[in-house]
Amino acid sequence: MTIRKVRIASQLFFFAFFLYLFWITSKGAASRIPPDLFLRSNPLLAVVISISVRIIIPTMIVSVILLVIGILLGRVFCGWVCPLGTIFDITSKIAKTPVRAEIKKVHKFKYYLLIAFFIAAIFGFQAVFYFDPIAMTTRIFTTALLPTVVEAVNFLFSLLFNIQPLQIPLMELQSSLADSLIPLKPYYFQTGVFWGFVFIIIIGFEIYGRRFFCQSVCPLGAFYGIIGKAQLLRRRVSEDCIACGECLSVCKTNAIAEDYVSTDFMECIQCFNCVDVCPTKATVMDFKSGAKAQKTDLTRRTVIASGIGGLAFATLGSVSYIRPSSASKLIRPPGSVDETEFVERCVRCYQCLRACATSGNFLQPSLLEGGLKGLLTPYGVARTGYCEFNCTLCTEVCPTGAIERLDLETKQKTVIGLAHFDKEICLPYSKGVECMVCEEHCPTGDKAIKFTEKEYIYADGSKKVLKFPYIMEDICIGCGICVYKCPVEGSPGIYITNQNQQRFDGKENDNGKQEKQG
Amino acid sequence: MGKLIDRRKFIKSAGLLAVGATIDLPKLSFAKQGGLNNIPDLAVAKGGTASERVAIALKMLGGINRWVKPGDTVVVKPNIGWDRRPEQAADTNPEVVAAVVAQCINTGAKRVMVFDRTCNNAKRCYHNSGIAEAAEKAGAIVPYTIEAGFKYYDMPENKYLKGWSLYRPAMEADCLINVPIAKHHSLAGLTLGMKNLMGIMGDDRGKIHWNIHKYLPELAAFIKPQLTIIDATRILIANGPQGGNPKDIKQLDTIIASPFIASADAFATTLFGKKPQDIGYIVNSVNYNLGEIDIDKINYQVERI
Ligand code: SF4
Ligand code: SF4
Ligand code: SF4
Repeated sequence: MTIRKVRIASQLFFFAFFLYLFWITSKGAASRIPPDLFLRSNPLLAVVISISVRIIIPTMIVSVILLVIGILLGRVFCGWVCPLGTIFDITSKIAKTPVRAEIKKVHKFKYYLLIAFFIAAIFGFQAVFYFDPIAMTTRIFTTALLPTVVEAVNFLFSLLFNIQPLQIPLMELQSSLADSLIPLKPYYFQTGVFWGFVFIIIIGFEIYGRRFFCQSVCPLGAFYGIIGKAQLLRRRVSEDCIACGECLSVCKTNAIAEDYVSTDFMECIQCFNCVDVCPTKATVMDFKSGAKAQKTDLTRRTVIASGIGGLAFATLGSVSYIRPSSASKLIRPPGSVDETEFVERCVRCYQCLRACATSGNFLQPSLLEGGLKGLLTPYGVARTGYCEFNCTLCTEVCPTGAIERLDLETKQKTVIGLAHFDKEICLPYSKGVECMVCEEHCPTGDKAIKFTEKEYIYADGSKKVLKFPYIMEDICIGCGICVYKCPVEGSPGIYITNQNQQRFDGKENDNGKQEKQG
Repeated sequence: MGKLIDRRKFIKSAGLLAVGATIDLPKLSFAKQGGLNNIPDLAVAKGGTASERVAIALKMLGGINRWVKPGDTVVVKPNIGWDRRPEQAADTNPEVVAAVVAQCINTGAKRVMVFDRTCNNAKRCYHNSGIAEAAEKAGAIVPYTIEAGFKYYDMPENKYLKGWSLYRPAMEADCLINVPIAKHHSLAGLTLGMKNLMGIMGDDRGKIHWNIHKYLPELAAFIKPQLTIIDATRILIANGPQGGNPKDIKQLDTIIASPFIASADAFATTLFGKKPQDIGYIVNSVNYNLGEIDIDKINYQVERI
């Protein structure tokens, strides 16, 4: 078995592992392996977030392992582990994508981008999540691919359900799927279509030229390229080279120079294709000296320009206009840290959305409701779902600690918002119709919705004694089930705002979690 | 006539029944009510374990084989509405459900299904209520309700509830056994047998609240469960229907079983110190042939274990 085959096996293994972790995200802390392992061990995210919020993120300390591997072995992650990289390789295998030399021209772009992200982070704006391949993959899987699959499965089921003998097997199948991956009902995220398009576009580029994204944009690839500049495992070409150029034609990232002998080690992803293809065995990868390096030169002018770009980006983010009307209604997941820190920590990996979709189906990605810095962050929408009283899933799967881990008891007491009646709409108040569905569903034990009995006088003068609900502010936790279940179509008779919300400080002290009022 | 029978007398009549078990007792139609020989229309069993209570209540009624025939597909419909644990008394007691399932299986039912369209996340409710595990162990299949299984049913004979989407597997089963838990409910007063049938309703069933006392009897008349077994192992006396507050729970270890859903509901009001006349939907049920609601006129038997 050649090393190249071992590499392919490794890619498939890690891809399967990635899918498995994605699958078990709905188990939260109950799963033996942390479902967010790929994200937690991402050194780029760990470093950028730590710079941005100025503390070391405890959950991400495991990323040191990959950091060290990166320093020693360069971009071996890209070639052997990265799930997005594997998706690319599978795509080009199917599409018979050629290696395209002209992509070399955009190699530098990713370094400039990375510099911009670092500068922005120094000024407190974490934006690297936009292109981080791991966060991007979980994001696309969560918002676009899984909902599509769920929709298709549900459609299929509704067709097959008409065939009598299939009914029971279908119900059983659906039940076992619902226990892990596929939520019972189709669900949608408001940015799903967008991320679906992004996915199609990056796959499109992959069909054009191999590893296009990895060579041109990927900030994680750039990061590994930079920290692994002095990597130990290097491509070396001996005297036996007959300059046939075979290696050049299989080098996915255009890391081999025109002379076939020198290698750009910031681009090389250690895929061993060149070693495999070399007819004279002149090309080897080993820890010996004698490798010829070709350097990527970043011009000082462009470095400075990208630094300024990052700065401008950061400034723009900070002055971004937050509409007060919508911001006050932004309900963050229970356990969220302070808002400024929350938007900097959050990498929009959507692990929380993924978990919540199988539970309360409460969390949605925001658009600009939380300002530019808060773009695409998770927030609760009480009309698509509500926060399940007994659920702590989102707090268990957040890799960055943007949502602090809560135990059930703390979570049940954590106030994420406050409900208010809209008495123009709420039926007993507006139309004299008995209702109280909200009260029925209120989970707080001693209910946060109470009622008074009063006489309602109808337009024709007739009277009836009805139950009129009202909110007990000191009991309401803002879970939103009242809003979700309110049977008034369109705008419900009750809504939640983030009044009274509790935020956490993200640092665990000796007494466990420290709470803060927000 | 309500009467208390003592243990010995009961055993004697149960023995008689066992002898006559091969005689195929007709399925009771809701129209005629008046007791078959010694058999009451409503049975109450108190004390003992859940499965003893279920067994004895069913024996008093003449045995489950009055409704469940060998080869039947049976649906046992408990209340699994809430993500609560059994001791919180928001869902039907899992042992009661398991006991009912076991009874059906022993009678030769081909298949017993247990499900509910839950209020909280289904997965959480099924597992945390303990019902999925207990019913599966007893031999039932316990699938979640699936969107595809709901179908709109016209209810032309109804005055108020003209139609609704209902869960086909429940409607198409040979026998539907309604196994609610008795609980406080602010709007309806109490949630009992008729209210539990909302668990097979699709769509936005919250709208039922808008005229709940008129809708529920019509719903029950349309669905016509063959048997209603009200679980009062623990009841919630306040903050229902989902509770969560231990001080609202009362342990009664009681089962009320009857083929007459309104009679069962009427009798269950007494557990809360109420009268059937206090609950609007029970009062309104008199026009729908759902059973006698005047406790003094119900032909019931109570058995203490
Ligand atoms: S808050 Fe959600 S999207 Fe953001 S980092 Fe945490 S899990 Fe990922
Ligand atoms: S705790 Fe609430 S918001 Fe978080 S996953 Fe569960 S239901 Fe969703
Ligand atoms: S469910 Fe909606 S309409 Fe009904 S009482 Fe509550 S807020 Fe009002």
